[in-house]
Amino acid sequence: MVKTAFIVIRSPQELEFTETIRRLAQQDDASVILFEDGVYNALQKERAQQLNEVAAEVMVAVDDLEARGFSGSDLKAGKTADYDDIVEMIMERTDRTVTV
Amino acid sequence: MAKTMTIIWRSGSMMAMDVNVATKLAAAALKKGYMVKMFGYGEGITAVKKGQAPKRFPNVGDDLVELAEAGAEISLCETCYAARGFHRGEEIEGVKIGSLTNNLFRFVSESDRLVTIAR
Amino acid sequence: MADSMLVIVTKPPYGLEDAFAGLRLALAMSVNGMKVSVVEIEDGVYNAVAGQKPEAVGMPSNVDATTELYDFDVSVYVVKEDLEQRGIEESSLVDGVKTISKDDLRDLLAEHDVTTTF
Repeated sequence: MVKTAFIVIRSPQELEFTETIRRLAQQDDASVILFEDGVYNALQKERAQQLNEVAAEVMVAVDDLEARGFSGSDLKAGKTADYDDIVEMIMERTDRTVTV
Repeated sequence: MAKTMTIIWRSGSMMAMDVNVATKLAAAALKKGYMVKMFGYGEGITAVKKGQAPKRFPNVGDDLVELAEAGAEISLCETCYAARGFHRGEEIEGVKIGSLTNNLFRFVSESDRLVTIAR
Repeated sequence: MADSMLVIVTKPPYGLEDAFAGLRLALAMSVNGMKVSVVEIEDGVYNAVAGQKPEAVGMPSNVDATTELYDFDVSVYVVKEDLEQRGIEESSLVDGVKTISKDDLRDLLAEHDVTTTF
């Protein structure tokens, strides 16, 4: 199956998107990239658990995470990533992006 | 031939950090050897205004100029531009005032990946 | 190189520019011969309600922006479950809009090279 990178820039309270991801891709084919307030999704227990259920991999933009006072050790889902890693995910490791 | 990424951005220059995400992504893709095209749509067109002078925030106009100099092809929707009272000649260097039908269509047709930065 | 595009509309009409902008983008791609589909999900399904009176708020019509797409073979889909959740009957939809199940979305996505969301 084709692989999809889902891009999220909004906070858990602004947007419920895990069901959207589930509808559009099966877990093995879904990766999530969290930018800006999207990083809060990987810090909240319940949302992080939902993320882990719908996506095979979760990337958290490290600049945006650190700017908000958190670091990789705070994450409840995914791993920190720099822009190089994110470009690699979009261009080489998935077939298309969907912004939710 | 190197693969191409097109980024559509639709957020205003300072309403969020969205344009900064778009420019950082573009810069990283160029550095890795990919071709990059960018298209401003809707409120996104505000990011190409010449003479932006934020005192503390990053200057996305300057970031876009640098990207154009580094080889990114940057265009935007003239209908959106005119709607907001911008005129040809008010845009930063390296940006081409264009349209969905001509410029974005070509960008997408020539792209391997399309990324949307909007909220 | 992308030959097909899926335009995903999540925003309702008139409060925001996005849905109209998405329908116009779909038109612009399709007039050039690209294979384009529009899928309206979540609050995006409100765009498919017939009987909209955009003149009441002085806005351009999202219904016209939808039906103009048919001339260029653009399919416009709405998700059945999202209609049901919002109490919208299928009989009240704009002519020509196609209803699909949420279970069809993965296949629809797979049929297109690129996506953009409004």
